[in-house]
Amino acid sequence: MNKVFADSQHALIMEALIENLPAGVALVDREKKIILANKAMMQLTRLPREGFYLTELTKLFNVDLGTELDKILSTSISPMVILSNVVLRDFFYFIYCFQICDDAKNVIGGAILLQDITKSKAIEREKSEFMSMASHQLRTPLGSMRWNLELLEEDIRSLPEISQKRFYEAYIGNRRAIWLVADLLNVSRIEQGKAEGEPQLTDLVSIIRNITEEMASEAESRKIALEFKLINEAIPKIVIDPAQFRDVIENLLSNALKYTKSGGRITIMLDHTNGYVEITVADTGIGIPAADQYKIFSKFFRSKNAVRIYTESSGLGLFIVRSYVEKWGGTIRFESTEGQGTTFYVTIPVTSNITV
Amino acid sequence: MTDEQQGQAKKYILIAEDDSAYGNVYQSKLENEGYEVKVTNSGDAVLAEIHSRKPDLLILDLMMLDKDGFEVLEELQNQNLLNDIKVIVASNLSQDADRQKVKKFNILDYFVKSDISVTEMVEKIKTALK
Repeated sequence: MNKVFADSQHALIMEALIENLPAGVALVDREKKIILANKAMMQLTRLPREGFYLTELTKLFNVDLGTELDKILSTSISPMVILSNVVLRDFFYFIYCFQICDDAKNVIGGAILLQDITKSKAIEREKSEFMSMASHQLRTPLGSMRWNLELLEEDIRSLPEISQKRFYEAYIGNRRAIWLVADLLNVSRIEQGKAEGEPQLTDLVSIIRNITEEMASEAESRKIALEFKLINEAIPKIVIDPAQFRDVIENLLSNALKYTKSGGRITIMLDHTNGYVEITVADTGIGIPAADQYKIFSKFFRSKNAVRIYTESSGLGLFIVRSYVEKWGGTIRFESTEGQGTTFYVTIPVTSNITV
Repeated sequence: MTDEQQGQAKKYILIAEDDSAYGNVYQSKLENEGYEVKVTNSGDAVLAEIHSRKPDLLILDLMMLDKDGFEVLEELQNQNLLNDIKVIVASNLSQDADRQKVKKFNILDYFVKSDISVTEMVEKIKTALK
């Protein structure tokens, strides 16, 4: 600490800071006994000083604080644990547990920090509702534009080629805007936790086959080999929203198609092992630069090499894909090398055991 | 007009749609396909029209001035007309909550206008009127 205050005043300053922090703070010793609780902690929990024990906090927040503290108090496991979505009455919190060490790096205790995020959660919800309302409003002019352009198409065929080209650019622009609105609506639905969809027994094989057939002509015209390989004949139908499953497959395959050059190959594989359905989408495309890989599932993020090839894309696809897959209790990961290609691996648990 | 249509009276389609950019497309395209078409722009107006002449098909938007599509469906249900009239809901709303609300009623189909082409829209109508 700098030399504005005398050394003897440091302890008093720290105590004053901790006591007056707007976040709740509690300190525990190595035996997990509470040795300090600040004003905010007492106010937020409304527990009496005599009744301020770890067991009471655990009951109040419905979180196993003992186990979380064990993780941070043992040096080898974790220096900090963050618990999100903690709810108490009508308020939302983050709880941070972190270790406190002495100069010799020995763990001497731990801290529990309680951060009220109710307001930021409310802002998130308002943002989502706004995005949803705006997207619905946008659909009206975009939709009527689409139909009117489609009716116009016949008349356009008698115009010079340059006029026809401009018309198609306008039409494609309109269709892209409509897809973007659909993506935005999906994102806001996901963020509001309203993306339950209509789960029903769904035939995954026919959906994948369907989409592969739809993309076959484009792949062929660009001399890209597109193949669907069924690794295991017995793929069970699973209880899932078919439109959402379709979104996932379409997103992964259309990305592969967008970012693979002429002469390349795309393979989508479907397997069933150990209670999971596994979908693999492999391409020999432009790949994802190593520096960007950690961001690839973020909203609106697009790598520079992707933008170079295909300027118009929302960057929302993989965010939506991951949200759906994780909602189904599955996992998604990928391997990619820039300039060589990318492979996505999706697993989805089969929660109902009905075979085809 | 097709041969079969020449043999029978034209089917009458009533449309509740307050955006004229859509209304005009419905009017011209569907008339071209051989149907008789009337477009109204409010919930009150469409209910009045239904009472003065029963349509072979009703295409109902959900967001309209004064009475909206949901209220129109309620009233048609209360008057026991939903078993009698074919209804397709054509809206730009697509929230699960909206779909669920509409599902309670006995309607033929629900589509999001911006998400289908004019050709697909005509197909749906032809299928409904078979």
